[in-house]
Formats: sequence, structure tokens, C-alpha cells
Amino acid sequence: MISHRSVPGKIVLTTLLLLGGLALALFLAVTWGATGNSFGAIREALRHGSDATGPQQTILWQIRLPRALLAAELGATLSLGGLVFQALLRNPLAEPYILGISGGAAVGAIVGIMFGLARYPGVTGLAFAASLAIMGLVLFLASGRRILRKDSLLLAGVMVNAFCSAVILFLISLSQDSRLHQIMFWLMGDLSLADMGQVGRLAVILAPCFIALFMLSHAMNLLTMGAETAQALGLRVKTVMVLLLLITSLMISATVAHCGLVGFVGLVMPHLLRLLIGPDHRVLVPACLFGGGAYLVLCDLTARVISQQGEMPVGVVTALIGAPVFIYLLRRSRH
Amino acid sequence: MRAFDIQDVSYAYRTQIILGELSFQIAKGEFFIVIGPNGAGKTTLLKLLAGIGKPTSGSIAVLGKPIETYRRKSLARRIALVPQLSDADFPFTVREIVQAGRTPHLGILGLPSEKDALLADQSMEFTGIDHLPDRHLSQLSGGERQRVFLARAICQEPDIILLDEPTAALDLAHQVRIMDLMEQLKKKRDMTVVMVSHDINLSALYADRMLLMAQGKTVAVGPPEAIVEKTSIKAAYGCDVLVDQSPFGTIPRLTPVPGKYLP
Repeated sequence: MISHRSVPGKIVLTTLLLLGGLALALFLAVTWGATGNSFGAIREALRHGSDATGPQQTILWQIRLPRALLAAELGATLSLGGLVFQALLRNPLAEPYILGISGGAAVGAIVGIMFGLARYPGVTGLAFAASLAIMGLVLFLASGRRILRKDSLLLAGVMVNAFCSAVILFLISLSQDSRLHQIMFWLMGDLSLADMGQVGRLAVILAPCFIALFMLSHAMNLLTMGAETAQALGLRVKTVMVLLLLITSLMISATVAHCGLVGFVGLVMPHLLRLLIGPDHRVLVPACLFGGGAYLVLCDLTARVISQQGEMPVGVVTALIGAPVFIYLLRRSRH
Repeated sequence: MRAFDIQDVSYAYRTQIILGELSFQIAKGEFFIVIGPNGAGKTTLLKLLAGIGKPTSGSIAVLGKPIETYRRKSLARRIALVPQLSDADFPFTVREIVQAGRTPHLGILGLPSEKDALLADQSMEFTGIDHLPDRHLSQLSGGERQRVFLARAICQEPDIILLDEPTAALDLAHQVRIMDLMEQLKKKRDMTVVMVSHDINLSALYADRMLLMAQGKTVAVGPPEAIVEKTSIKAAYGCDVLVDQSPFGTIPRLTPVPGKYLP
């Protein structure tokens, strides 16, 4: 018997609820767009199955659906990344950008774009390699005994991240006009070029990461109680920390290579979900997966609906919503 | 078989020597208290006993086996650690924190069975926090918080419990309550209690044996009456004290001499 008070009960209930939310968000994102709502076309597609054709159908299944799914993958990854970093640093206000991992991935990806490489394996590979290198640098700077202290990791990350930002601007100033627009747009978070192949390839990388993070969710609970306490409770703290950093680095760099730098999702979603359902990571991991996905799908929908002409990067919307929320949470947490 | 067998243990951080060739034993079921001035290396010693960090040289045996032969999880079934009081960054409830004590007995997701939940409830009852299960740590007083961490350690069902200044910053009643709880654990559950403390008089009232440390070295080890006496205290702390007997008879009582510390 699963009760809503037990941990498994909470996991199941939260997952079902937010999975429903994600399904609803995806439905809205597919039916809604610059050409108005498309309930008619959906009905037609449902009635005729894959036989349904016409420009409406193309827009729905080949443009809107992959874009919405990519947004869901991005949102899930960033939220989970934020959750992991908050646990690692024992700081509820951390996000994946803070340790420079996404900054490193961005440097790698920009180099890839500048050389005109394909997204697979070139840009993605370079992004992952660069984020691993940056992570290695951060770990080295914070190394030895003191890795167990949250401040040293945070400080090293902030420094390295600032350095990455400078490198990104430097690279942009070097690049030719023809690539500049592409790079700038990608940097702000670009989902407009999504296709189903891309969504599938990304899913192959992300799915094992998501499963591994769920397996490590109780370890994250222990980490938030302090490294020494976690160790005394039987956790191999250093191994778990390195594993978490590796997994996060892999999934963040893969999505950064696809979607650019989308800020504040990793901060806002874990924090919001923690306020709603408590700090247990065994519940928060699935919650961030589906809730974060739903949030970004809705952000992207907003970006599409607001900018009737041209495209607005989703990063603009997440930052416009995220920055005020961040400031609000920061002010509240001081009291 | 002894709870701990410490042989020539030294610990250095970079070039700084924190512990120098400590050797002593702690018997099973003993109430053992480590005292000494700030920076004597007490906390470092306690962490080494908990398996957090390795000695630079020397050996530590836990229940007859070298500490490094234990897997982290099986060591956690033997030894529980109550660290110094710290703030909670994440809003776990009291029940969640206490249940985390079951971790070394559970699978990777740490999902508690009914028996584990019952053990957590009993531990909360034992330390007198069973009326607070759904509160957050930030809503509790220092004394209540300390009893939450004690309950987590007890819930771990260890043979040995290590505590780092558990009575610091607590009022008199809470200090005695914590010490009484430890004595009960020792007497009723046959646990070995190893504690770091700054309160010499309180320690003398409860300890079977004490270790007096200064600058990473042993000054004296033995029963309270051998430790709490003028020359050892002067050697460790560098200050003059008077020692007489507590109203309980043979237990020594220390009184500092005011007005002798400034030139």
C-alpha cells in the first residue's frame, strides 16, 4: 500500500502530477503558434493518423513538436543541473552556470561554430571536452582536503566562470559577420532549428544521466547535510561528488551545444519545487525532470507568441521571468 | 576486544603537525572524554576515529580490525558521529533528518521500511524530541537541535558514538540532559561513548577515563582524578587552577583563579 506520506508514495504522486503538467504544456506548444490555434488540424491528424497532410500538418509535426520536445529536454536538464549543484555546494541559490561548466561548454561550442563544424559530433564533442577541462580545472583549484568545503569549490567556479565569459566575448569579437548572428542567437538560447533527429540524439545522451541522477538522489540528500555527516553515514563523498559533476557536465554540455546558454531555469525550478514539495531529492529529481521540462516548454511558447514577427530566443523569456524571481528569493532568504 | 586501539598516530596538514604520535586505547562500553585547549587537535582526532581522513602515520584499529579495512558503509554501521552544531541550509524535517541515520543499513535510495521508521520514532522518543517530527531545524532551539542529531546517531544503531562538543552553547539543564542521555546509552545499550569537550568539571562527573591533550600531544590519560589536577592542567592550559572534590566524593572539581592571567 503506497500512502502519500511515504517516500515512494510522494515520488509516484509528484511524478504523475508533473508528467501531466508536461503533457499539457507540450499539447499547448504544439497547438498554439503565430498562425493561431490549430485544434482543427490536431483533430484531423488524430482522425487520419499519419495520412494527414498539408502545410498545417507540417508546421505541427515537423516544426512545433520537435521544438517543444527540445525545450522539454533543455528545461529538464537545466533544472536537474541546478538541483545537483545546489546539493553539491549546499547552497540553494546555485545553478549549473556557477561552476563554469556551461561557460566552458559554450567556449567549446563557439569554437566549433567558428570552424563551421557540424553539430554532431563536432560542436557537441568540443563543448563536452571544454566543459570537462573546465571542471577539471575547478576541481584542481579546489583540490585536496578542502574539496569537502563548499566555499573553495564555489570560489574556484566563480573565477573560472568569469574567465570563460571573457573568452566567449573575445571569440565573438574575432568572428566574421556571417557567423556572428548565428553565435549571438545561439548564445541567448535558440530552439528554432530543432528537428526530430536532434531531439532523439539528445535523448540518448540525457536518459542515462537522468536515471543515474535518480539513483544518486539519496546521496544528494546526505550531501546537503554536510560532507562530514554524509561520510559518517556511510557515503563515499568524494566519489559521489565527482560522479555528480561528471554526469551534470555531460548533460549540460550536450544541451548547451544544442540550445545555447539559457539562464535562470536551473535556479528557479529547483528552488520553486523545493518550496512546494520539500527538500527530499528522491522526489525532487523526478519533479525537476518533468516540472523543469514543462516550465521551459511554456517559456518557449511565450517567446513564440510574443514575437509574432521573427524569433525571440527562449533565453530572453527565462531571464525576464527568472531574474526578478531570483532577486525575490534572495531577499526572502536573508530574513 | 577494544573499541579503539590507537598506535603512534600522527597527522600533519601540509607542513603543520596537528597530531603527534598519540597512543591510547578505549575499551568497549567506556565513556571516554577528550579535553584540551583550543587548537590541541581534539576535533582532528575525533574525525580520524570516525574514518574521515587518514593519519599521516600510525594505526587505528576499530573493534579489533584496522580502520582502513572497513568499507565506508560498514564503518557507518559501527560508528556514528555527532559533529559540532551547524546551521541547516536545506529545510529537512526532524523526522527526515533522524531517518537519514538508517542510511548505512539501507539500499542506494535509502528508502526506510516500517521497522526503520519505527526505530527513528523510538530514537526521537529516547532523546525527547518526539513531539517535533514535522518541524524544521531552523525552528528549534540549540538544545533541541543537538537532540535531533543525537537521535540520528542513535538511529544508526552504532557500537560507538563520537560527539564533538555536544554541550557547547547549551544551557545548564540541556548540558546535563545530553550527558545523562549518553550515560544511558552506555549503560542500557552498551555503547562506547567518545566525546570532545571544553567543560572539564562536567566531563569529570561522567567520564570513566579522560584524555588531556595539548598541541597535538598527550599530556595525560586516565580516570578523572588523575587528569583534573593542578600540574597537568597547568601543563596543558598554562593557567593556575585550584582543585578540590565535588560534593559527590572522589570526583575532582576545578576552580580557575581569577586575576592571574593579565600582566
